[in-house]
Amino acid sequence: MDIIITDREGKVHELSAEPGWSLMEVIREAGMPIKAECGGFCACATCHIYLDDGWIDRVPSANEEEAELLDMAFDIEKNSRLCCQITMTSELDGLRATLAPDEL
Amino acid sequence: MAFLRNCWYVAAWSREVGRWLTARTILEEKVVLYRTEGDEVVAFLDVCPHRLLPLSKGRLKGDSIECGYHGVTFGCDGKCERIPGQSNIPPSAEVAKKYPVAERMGMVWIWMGAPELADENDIFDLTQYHNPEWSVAHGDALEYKCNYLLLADNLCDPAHVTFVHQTTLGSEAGEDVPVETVKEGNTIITYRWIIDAPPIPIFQKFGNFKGNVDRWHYYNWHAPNIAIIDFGSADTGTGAPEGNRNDCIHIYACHFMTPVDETTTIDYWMHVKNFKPQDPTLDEQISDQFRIAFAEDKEILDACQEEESRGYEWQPLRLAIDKGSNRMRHLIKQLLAEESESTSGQG
Repeated sequence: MDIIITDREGKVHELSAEPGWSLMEVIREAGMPIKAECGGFCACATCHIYLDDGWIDRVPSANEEEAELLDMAFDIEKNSRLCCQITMTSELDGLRATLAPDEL
Repeated sequence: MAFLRNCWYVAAWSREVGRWLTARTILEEKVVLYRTEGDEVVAFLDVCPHRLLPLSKGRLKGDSIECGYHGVTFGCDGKCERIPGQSNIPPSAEVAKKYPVAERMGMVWIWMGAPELADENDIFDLTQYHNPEWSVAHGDALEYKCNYLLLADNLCDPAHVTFVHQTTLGSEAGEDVPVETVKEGNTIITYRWIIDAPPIPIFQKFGNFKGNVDRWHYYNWHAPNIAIIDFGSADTGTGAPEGNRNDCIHIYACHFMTPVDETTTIDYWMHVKNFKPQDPTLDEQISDQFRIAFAEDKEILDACQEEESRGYEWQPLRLAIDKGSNRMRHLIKQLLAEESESTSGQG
């Protein structure tokens, strides 16, 4: 399946994703600039993305830990998520997301 | 940054407050404490409402404080009793602030927030402290030159133990064991088990273990200022992880953090353990091990604060081991917001 990721310069990338991977891993393995400092443990908020085109309502919602981290992160929008917490499934084929700004 | 006010902080060890005046700074407020002839602890804002001399520079006379500047005297209810040179005592003559106080676990607790919200039932208590099968050793009041949240970070963080406390509390076996974090109400619990490993140095000294042990380490942080470190070991294979702790060494290292100001914190610490009840020599030997460990924490946290105060323009790195600290800091953020909302609501 394919997903569409927009980078911080507005350039659109089509990435191919395997079910079972986290969205963070898909983006990171494609070589896109996402820090993901904690490595997918929901402890850093450096894999912050925005889900585009209504996809925010089509992925399982954030758990308490993720919501807490988002509450302390910068540039948060209603469609913000930490992409290490989103597991790829066939339902997410065609998902669209944009990388959030890099924190200073 | 604001401090949470509507909660109980430790102001002093009970042994430090007596028939004399004890001065403390708590949440950037100066406080004077003393004990009445009837053994009640009293705490006032440490300022004479006349010329603002700290009352702690005066004298305790009976149950009253006589200011060291002009002899204006305040009773233990805070009301003025005497003004040398005038017979009129205006109703406005009283101490600016009287704090609710209570004694628990050998410590004097003070309520720095709205007095009408103070409820002594909310003061933290550790069941084992009162259990005759357990023994209690009150430690010291260690001054850290760091914000209390840096100390709270450290007390939500079992991962530092291997590297900071190599001669006392840590062992290499713990290096790569992941840490789990759960939140229960206003408590954040960060924990890990290290199975089938040699005892840590302090348990080698006091545990009489013959082989490897299963070791647990639960960091229970009770917002905003209390950390109870529940740790212990049992012989491997005796079922400690499944709940059998009949034959084990078990210690609660208790930390009561009181912010003095933005970059100073007092840690009142004690330990409560399940072996050889009330052996003062052994208690002191164990306290000495903790003194070594906490001096190691102090060296690190004071140095981290110095760099944090310098202010770097980049975000510090955030790692998987930071989960406990993240949840702690989020809870503080939430409680501060709630408190400021309730205060503005009352105003």
